[in-house]
Amino acid sequence: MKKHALRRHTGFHNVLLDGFIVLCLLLVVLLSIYPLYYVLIASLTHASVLNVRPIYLLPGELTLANYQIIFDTLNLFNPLMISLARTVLGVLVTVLCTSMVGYVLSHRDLKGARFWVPFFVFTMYFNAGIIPTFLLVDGLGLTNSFWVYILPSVVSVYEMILVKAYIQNIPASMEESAKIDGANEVQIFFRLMLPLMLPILATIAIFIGVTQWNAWYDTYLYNYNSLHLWTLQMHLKDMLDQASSIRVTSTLDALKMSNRQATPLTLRLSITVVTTVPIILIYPFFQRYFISGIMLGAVKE
Amino acid sequence: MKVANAHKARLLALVLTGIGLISLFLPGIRLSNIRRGQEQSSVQISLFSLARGQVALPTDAYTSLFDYAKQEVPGVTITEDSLRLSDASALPGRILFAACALPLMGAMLHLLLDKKRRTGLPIALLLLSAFVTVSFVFAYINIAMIATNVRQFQLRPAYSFYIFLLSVILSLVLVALTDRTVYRQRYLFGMLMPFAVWLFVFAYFPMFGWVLAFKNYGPSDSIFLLPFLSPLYKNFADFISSPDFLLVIRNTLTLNLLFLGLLTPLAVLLALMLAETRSARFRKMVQTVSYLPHFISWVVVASLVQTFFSMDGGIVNTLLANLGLSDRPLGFLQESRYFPALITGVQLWKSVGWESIIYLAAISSVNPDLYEAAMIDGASRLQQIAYVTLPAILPIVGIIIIMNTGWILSGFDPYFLIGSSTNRDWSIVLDTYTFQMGVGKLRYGYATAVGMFKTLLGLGLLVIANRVARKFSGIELLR
Repeated sequence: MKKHALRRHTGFHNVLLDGFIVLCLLLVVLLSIYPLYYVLIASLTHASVLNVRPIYLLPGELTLANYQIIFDTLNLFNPLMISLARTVLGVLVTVLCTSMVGYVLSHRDLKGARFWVPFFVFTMYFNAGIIPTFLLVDGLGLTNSFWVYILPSVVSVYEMILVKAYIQNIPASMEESAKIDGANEVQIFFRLMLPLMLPILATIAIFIGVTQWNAWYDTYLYNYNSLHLWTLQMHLKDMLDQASSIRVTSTLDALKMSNRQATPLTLRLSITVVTTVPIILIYPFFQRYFISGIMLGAVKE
Repeated sequence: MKVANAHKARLLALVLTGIGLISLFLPGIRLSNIRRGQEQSSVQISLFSLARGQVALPTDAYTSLFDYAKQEVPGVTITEDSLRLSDASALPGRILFAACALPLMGAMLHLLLDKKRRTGLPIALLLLSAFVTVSFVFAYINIAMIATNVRQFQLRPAYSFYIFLLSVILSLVLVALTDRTVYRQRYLFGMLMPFAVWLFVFAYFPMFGWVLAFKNYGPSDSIFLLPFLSPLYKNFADFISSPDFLLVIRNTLTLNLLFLGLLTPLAVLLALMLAETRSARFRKMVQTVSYLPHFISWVVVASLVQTFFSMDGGIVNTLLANLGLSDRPLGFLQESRYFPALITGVQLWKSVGWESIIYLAAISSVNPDLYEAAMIDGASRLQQIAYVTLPAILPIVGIIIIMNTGWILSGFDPYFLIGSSTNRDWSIVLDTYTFQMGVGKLRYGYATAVGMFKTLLGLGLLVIANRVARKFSGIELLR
């Protein structure tokens, strides 16, 4: 950046400015991280403590009881598996299909390219609305089915544009020489382009994976009556509602009989943590990819 | 494709189109009598033809449906209304038949006569005829379903319908392949077409559902049969004249303007501060942490909000009480007056860090010579920011502000998950209102109308934003 320039700045004003900036940034860090940290320590605190005195920095009475309860009594193993399944399968399918479409549309000489690209991009800004979409999904028999998590998002248009832009930056001579060697476009895509695209594939895999993991709306709208297809996010969403906490309360009554203490709050907190932890765990690994990804998108925009 | 092969392909396409045309006169609808999940008997009826052994008009296929129904279930009551309906359906049936048969003939003729291998027109005609026929078959099934109105009958497309579809698709492929460019790019098209069809089904096809906006559709009605409202725009008029209209528009615009209006300045400020940080490691750390909220789901965020701001045991209320700032818990989540600040704060928390990435990148691409020159002129750091950095990133800031205004009517997750019935005065926005009306109150037609209103208005805004951005910077957003 402008390192050598900054180095020459000394003097009281500059130190003051630096100090002010560091303070502000520390505040940003605190604001960003504290809510998540608080949920973590509160979920590790025994329910009886949380009712008596507030905690701010450290867990009250360290316990894993809340987690035991959500996995034993609320049976959170199945939703965890559903969430994982839709994320893994969704990423595989969507990355492959999206990059395939991106590869095809990266050809500027494609017959009807002036039609195909807007045909895809238009859908980013325009949708039919919830009722017509619901009727379609229902008509296709996708309600109360796992496939509603995968099929409607087979191609992700925004990510497709990223891939297309990335391929257009790869020298066209590579594809041409492969063609001269007698390869057709399918072979070129799988053998030549996919390996070359790995950085952008990693980027879009992150975006798609996070979207899949975080999705709740499709479960809520299409799979509400199929409890066995509920994801973690859906269970958490359900616990946010007043009405459904009645069901949780009955679970809690059953718990009281067996002398284990929990409140709707501690249950919700531990589910929140379980839902967030996978994202935070893989976050350091994918960090370096998404910045290059968003930059690419920004450059094209 | 070689000329001889192209000729063969065209001939084959012609034959296939002929088969498709003929198949329309074969039984295309299958009516089954289902009892306890078992098919007792069934009859197959052609759409356009020789029902009851005589050359007849399209109506007769329909009449024979009733004959079969009467015969199978003696007690079935066919009302005069449904008979009149069948009569009425005959006329559009014939018109539609002509509409789909003629293009097919046209496509065939064109292929025979055209020596220049132009493929656009035949493809368009084939697509049109396929589309008209498919929609006609489904409309017909729908009409018959309602008219017979006996639960145990099941109407489905039968084999000749699939023959029709298959022959049309195959001849489409063949006709397309006679085009030189398409043939050269056949592998590319092979990879593209499945997804083009997928996109059409999932994104474009539901737009036909917009017809619901002009009807009073409920969960068990037939989309096609339901009469149009009078006046046609009744749902729209109802929405605009309802007391909710002004409320919803006010909330949508105010809350989005509040959020977007604060988002850009704060993100620019964060980017500036990050750029001015001397320690690269500290900068990296702040960046990492401030992007994190972007990846947290809205459900989790709503749960965090509930944990922090609830009335019983929420940490904010506890803190306020402990500091002696309030003597009773405040209903941050319940009372409308807190909602705008709450929702804006939460959205900013989630987005400011992420939004700053792009500005930081813009700052880092400013020419370093400019800073050197400014320093030689004696500019302080603040002056450098004001006179070098800010003007340099202004175009990007402008584009993003313009781009954001295109989304000013949108926003579902935060409002739906954090808003509640008690703060509806401020938490109801266009998207959540559509959801409430459609899914909550099952007013499908009305909700479709509201959704359509929003989509069209939003698209208009986007187009305007795009125009302004192009004028402003020469960069186009809608690619």
